[in-house]
Amino acid sequence: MLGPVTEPASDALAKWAEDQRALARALDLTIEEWLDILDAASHRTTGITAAAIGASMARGLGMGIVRGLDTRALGKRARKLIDPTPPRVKNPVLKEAVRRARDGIEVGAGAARLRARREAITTPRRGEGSIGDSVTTGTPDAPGDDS
Amino acid sequence: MSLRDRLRTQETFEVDDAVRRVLKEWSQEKASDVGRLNLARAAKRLSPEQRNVLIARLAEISLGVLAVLEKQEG
Repeated sequence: MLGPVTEPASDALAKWAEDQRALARALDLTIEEWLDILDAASHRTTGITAAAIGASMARGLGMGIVRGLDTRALGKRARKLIDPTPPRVKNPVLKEAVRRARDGIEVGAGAARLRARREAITTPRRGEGSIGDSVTTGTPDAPGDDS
Repeated sequence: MSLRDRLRTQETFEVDDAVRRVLKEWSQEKASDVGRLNLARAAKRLSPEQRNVLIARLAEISLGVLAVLEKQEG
C-alpha cells in the first residue's frame, strides 16, 4: 500500500523539481548554488537517511526506504531533475537567466504569448465626430483643408 | 544503526531552536507560495550561520523526499 500520496510518481518528480527551483528562489539562491548545496548534502548520508525516514513515515510508508539508499546517486538524480538541460553559457548571470526563463515556458510558448498579446490590443480608431475647430488647420504633418 | 549514535555517524542532529522553528513552520505548507514566502522572510531574520544550517537541512530534506518519490516510482 502506498499511503496517502495520490499523484503518479513521474508527476510527483516533476513537481518536486519545480518545488526545488522555487525553493532556491525563496532562499535567494541561484539554481546553480542550490544544485551545489544538494551535491554537498548528498555526501551527508546520515542527514539524508533521517530525512528519508521522516518523509517515508509522513507518507505512511515503512523504514524500508533506507535499504540500499545511495545518497550520491540521489544527488546526481536531483541535479538531472532540477536542471535537465544545463545552459551552455559560461556567464553565471546568463546561466541563471536561461534557467529561470525556462520555468513554466514550453517550446514555442513565447511566440504564442506574443500572438496572444497582439490580439488583446485593439487598433485605435478615429472618432466620427469633429474633435474641434482646428481639425482642418494645416500642420507640418498634415496639410489641412486651407492649403 | 542509531541515527543519534555520534561514534558511528560522526554527525549530530543539534539544530538551533530558531532554525528548528523555521523548518517546522515551513513543513506546514512547504509546497505553497505562501509557505516559501514565509520561509524567505524567516531566513532573512537568521544569522548567516543559522541560515547555512537551515539551507543544509532543507537540502537534506529535499533529497530525503526525492528518495521516497524514487522508491515509489519503483
